[in-house]
Amino acid sequence: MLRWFSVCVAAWCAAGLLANPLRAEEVLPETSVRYRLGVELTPQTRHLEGWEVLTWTNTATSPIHRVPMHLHLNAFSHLDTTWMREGALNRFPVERFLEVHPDAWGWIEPEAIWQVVGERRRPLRWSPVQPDDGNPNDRTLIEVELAEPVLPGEDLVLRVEFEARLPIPIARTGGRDGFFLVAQWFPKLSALEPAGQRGVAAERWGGHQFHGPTEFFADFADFDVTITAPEGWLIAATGRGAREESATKQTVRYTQRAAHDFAFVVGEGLEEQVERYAPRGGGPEVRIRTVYPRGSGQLAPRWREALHHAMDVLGERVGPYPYSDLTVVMPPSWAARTSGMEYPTFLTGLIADPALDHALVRDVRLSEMVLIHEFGHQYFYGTLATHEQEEALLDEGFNSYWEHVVLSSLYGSEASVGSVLGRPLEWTAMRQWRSGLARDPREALGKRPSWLFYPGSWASQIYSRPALLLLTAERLFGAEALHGAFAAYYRRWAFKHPGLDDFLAVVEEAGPPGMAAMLREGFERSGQVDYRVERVTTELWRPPLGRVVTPDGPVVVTPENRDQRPEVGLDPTAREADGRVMMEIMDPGWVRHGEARRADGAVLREAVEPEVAPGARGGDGFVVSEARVRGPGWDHLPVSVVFAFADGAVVRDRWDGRSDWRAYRFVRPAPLVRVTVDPERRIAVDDRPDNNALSVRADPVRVADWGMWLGAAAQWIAAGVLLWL
Amino acid sequence: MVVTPPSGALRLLGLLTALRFFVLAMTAAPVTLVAIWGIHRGVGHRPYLTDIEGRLPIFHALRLLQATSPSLIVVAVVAAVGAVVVSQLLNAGAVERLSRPPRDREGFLSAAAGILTHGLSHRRLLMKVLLGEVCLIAGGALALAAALQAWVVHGHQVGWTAWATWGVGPAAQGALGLCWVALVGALGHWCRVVAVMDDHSGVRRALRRVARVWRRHVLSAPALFVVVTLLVQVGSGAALAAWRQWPPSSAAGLAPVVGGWCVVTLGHAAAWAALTWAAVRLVTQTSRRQGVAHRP
Repeated sequence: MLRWFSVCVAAWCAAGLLANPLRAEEVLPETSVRYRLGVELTPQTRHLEGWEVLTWTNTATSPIHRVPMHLHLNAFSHLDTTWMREGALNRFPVERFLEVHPDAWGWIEPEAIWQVVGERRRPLRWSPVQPDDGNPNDRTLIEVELAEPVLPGEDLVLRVEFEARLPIPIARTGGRDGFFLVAQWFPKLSALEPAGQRGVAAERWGGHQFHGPTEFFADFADFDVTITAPEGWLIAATGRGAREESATKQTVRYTQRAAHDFAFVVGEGLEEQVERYAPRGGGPEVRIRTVYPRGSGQLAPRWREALHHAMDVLGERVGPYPYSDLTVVMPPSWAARTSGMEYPTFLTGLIADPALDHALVRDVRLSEMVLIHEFGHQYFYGTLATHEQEEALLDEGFNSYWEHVVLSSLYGSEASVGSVLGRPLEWTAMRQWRSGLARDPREALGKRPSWLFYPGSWASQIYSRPALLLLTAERLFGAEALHGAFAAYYRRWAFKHPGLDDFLAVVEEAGPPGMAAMLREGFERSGQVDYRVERVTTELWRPPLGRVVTPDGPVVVTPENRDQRPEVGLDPTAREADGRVMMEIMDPGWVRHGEARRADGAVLREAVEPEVAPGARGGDGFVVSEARVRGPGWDHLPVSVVFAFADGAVVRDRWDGRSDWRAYRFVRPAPLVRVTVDPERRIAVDDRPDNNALSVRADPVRVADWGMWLGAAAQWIAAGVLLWL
Repeated sequence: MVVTPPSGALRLLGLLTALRFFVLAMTAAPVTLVAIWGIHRGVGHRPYLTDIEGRLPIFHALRLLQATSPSLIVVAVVAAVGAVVVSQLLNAGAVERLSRPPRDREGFLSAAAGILTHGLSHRRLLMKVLLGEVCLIAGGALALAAALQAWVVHGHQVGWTAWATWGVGPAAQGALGLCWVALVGALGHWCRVVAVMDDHSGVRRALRRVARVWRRHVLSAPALFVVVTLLVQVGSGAALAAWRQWPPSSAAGLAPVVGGWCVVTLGHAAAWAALTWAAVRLVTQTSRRQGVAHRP
């Protein structure tokens, strides 16, 4: 059936069936998991009372005796859970939070689990397991011992009764008073990974404990969920709902096929806007439901524009959004810790707050950026259901790149994130700045698991670096080539669980030559990518002292006669009679994997045609100009080095970038004025673009302007101190 | 009623303004020199920053600050501490000179030296007032921070908007903090004026006298100082911000900007001199009315 889906998607794109949008039911694949859930929220105590009937078809090749289930809410039960150990201290000041909310804890406990075999219910035993860190206080993953093994191809039916309490929002889920964002709230079956999937050697369960820096992984399932909440409150959830008859309380039944999670929001004082939108990339017409706190509706046009554009760009360039529903929740500011999250067909944007409409920040497109990002997750996590705990870059990193594509396409690349006081905020500069700030080691991005990146560096390693790497690929090989590869990746892997190698294999097949190798190197190599111009010097050429053999015979140059013989020993190419510039290149060579691959260093002399011919020759004499550039020494990150001279000549060298540095020497009638490595700024993954060029002379106006302003700023502060002390 | 100082006093005010301007300029000088030197050796050669026409984009500006600020901070702190010391002497010396009949025919340098020498004789008193001010400012800042914390906690508990919690709260804290600092500054300034005029009287006695003067002259004593200093400081801050919002693009464009900043600094210095003169005059008048002898 999965293949059938892929064929369908391809057919849309190829045959132009976009005018007759298909229904979601026609494109969603069959799944091996079915959830029937019922839950009632008691707002006063934040309690959830729930039951679950889980049906899972054993897709394994051997009988199953036990199954792991996630109890993610237990991550918020106390300060020594694995999530709290890894994430809490980086996310918020715990003591202050507990001062505000002394009873913030959330938890979930199964009250009973039965295995349903025919007409019989057999009670089961379960116990928490901690395969990742052995933390005995962590109860986010349990193992359920089955009463009877489930043979391959047979169904396992579990009935679970559970009680849960939502936390005050700490991260992603929780609520209080009139707003509850209910996510990760039910016992969820871990995903079974067959041998070969994502490079897994032998069949295994893919479940992990709930970790601080990473999110979730589960199998596609069909959901049928009945939610009960106080009458008059708004309920919105994954999928589409229909109200059921109930005497005293409000009950809504939501269903969604082929999704790997289910979240909902319940609140009073919430408003909603519902619209239908047909994304340009095809797929079903989408019913978009936007939920926000009462009084924030004036911001909706901004959200809508961003969301529509994201749907269009991703639909056209990656593939059609396959679901017919999308619920967008803009939380109130006090529930900001539930903002910026993604669930299948359900996402939370940034807060809906009048602060975002204030004149000072109105032009900053944070709300739009978050919405675009979270919608992107419908692809990179939603349909391309990667394992975020093990390979988080495949959703956060890839999605951050697409966030850039959508933002630039909608708002232009100059100020893609908006502006502050007339100063543009550009996405690439922002990511490079954040990535460049990190002093932590740049580990290989493709390593697993993702929660074991250097502490505190997760955002840089998972979001910025992979996104900038993809942007580099776009600039080196062209957007069309990269986006074509993404479209092929989507066609092949939608509704499956691809890994990094699967993506690279698609790029190898569908992308231009060299792109896959470049990306593979980017994902596998550690260390900072920093091309920089390290040194530029110029000095007047003078005849060498000593005995110099010339065409007219030997000449002894002494300090006394040096100025009378100004061109003794001068390289004839320096006169540039043929219009070409002699470039002397020192390349130190490189070696990889011992002696297996190497290139010996050499000093090369190349007479090159200048890109811009020199103007009139300036003063008398010749000048020796030297420059040294450095790079990361990667195999697939070639750059140009451009030399600009005072007489207007511009010379370019194409450096393969494999050695760690390269030095240049010119003897010309004019001095070098500027050296620029990567002048087109293709290497976006270089997070220090500021050192990519060096001028021989400092800009006197800037030096004076910035220096005096900094002095004036210091004086202003001191003047205040003197005035009041 | 417009009160104008006599011609000798005008000359003295000019002298004090010049001295104050000199102190401010000397505070800026080391920072400016280090900044220019650092930029000339470093980011001034980087086209990534120098090629930008007009306003630097946010992240370019951050890179510029990141590249220049570490070396500047130390220099700025040292310069500011030195300026505070000199300024204390200048304050006391200025009061001393303003409370006497103006002299004719005194050279600038000898007058400046005299002012600073006079100030030096009040160093213990000045130190006490300075410490008192620092304690009061720190105490007020802590109280305001605690109040803001309570505000934020309350905001979280009752579910305020981000605008109320993170916009109004911190803005109010900033404004109140600034007013508090200006008020403490007014108290310190008046204590110095009164204590110096009373010739080495203690701080407590000076405080009592300041309280009496303030009670009678709320507008022309504390309110005037607070309003004028706030206007001067906020106004010069706005000028500084405007400099960066409309940066000069050529050397010819830089000259008027720097000239304008000199005028702003001169205004700053003149405001201080005028406030000191006004305080001395008010204390003198009050003393005469109360029959309290003041030093001839």
